[in-house]
Amino acid sequence: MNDFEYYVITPDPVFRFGDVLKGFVALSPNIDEPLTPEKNDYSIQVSMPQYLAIVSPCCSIRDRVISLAPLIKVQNKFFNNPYFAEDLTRINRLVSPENSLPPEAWQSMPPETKVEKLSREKAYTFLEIFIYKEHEIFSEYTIHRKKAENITTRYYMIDFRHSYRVNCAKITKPENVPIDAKCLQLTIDARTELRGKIAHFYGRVPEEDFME
Amino acid sequence: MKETKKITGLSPDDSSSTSTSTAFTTTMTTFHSSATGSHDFLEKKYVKHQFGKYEITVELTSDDKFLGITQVEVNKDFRTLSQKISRTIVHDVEEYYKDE
Repeated sequence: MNDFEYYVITPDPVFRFGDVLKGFVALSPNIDEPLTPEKNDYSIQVSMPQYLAIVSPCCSIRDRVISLAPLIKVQNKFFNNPYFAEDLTRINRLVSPENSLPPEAWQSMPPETKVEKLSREKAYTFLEIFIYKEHEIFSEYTIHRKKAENITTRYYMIDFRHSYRVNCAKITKPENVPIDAKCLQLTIDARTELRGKIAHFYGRVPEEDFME
Repeated sequence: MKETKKITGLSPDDSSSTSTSTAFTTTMTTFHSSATGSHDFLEKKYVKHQFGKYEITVELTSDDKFLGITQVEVNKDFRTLSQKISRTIVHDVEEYYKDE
């Protein structure tokens, strides 16, 4: 287990990548298919998440624009793997092939598949997810499980696919922001983990893009 | 500046005139220094380039002027570009995790 602090005790008076904020709306436009002059129905879902994380790089928090992702409850399937259940922030890091799977999945795997997986390096799991460690400001909730005991937790997560833009007149540069909205700041180690994982999320190269 | 000379002669145990002496070769290194206070402080860097199946080490000045080639060796990394790029960054595990 990487035993480092996740949140600084005294946050800086600036907005940083990974900071937890409050007081921002979340927006989600919904369509069944791309709009045409004949079919142009859409809906916009607006919500007020209790907390959101900054996914803009620090230097890009300016010009009245910021990118955010809402903090949402973790998925119960994460707890199927005792390695993750012990510390959900392990999902934020590179893990061995064996630790990436629930034990029963690993044990029932054909030997040749195990050998192939064991030959691989450590890698990410759930690449679109970043876990925010439990903190007293986060509301407690219950993970309901059919085949195991329910779990009460304060872990939250962001899904990089849920990132969106907010225009805020009070954000002109990282140090000129509505600082009262800032609730938590990641430590350098935790912020490095977030930066690494989101970079890999966006940096995947599909096979068809390889140039020989 | 460093100068290396080879000296070939007789082994130290040739004091006996009837013993068999063994030729030996040793290397003597002498150092020639320039005038006091004058040293070659040319900053150099070494850059490796791939050239076909070879890897060439090129000596350059700090402002990228070519000085020479210091080493040529066979490139032992046989991976293709796609193999180098496609190192696993994610375990494909979704099918093993089901929401209960």
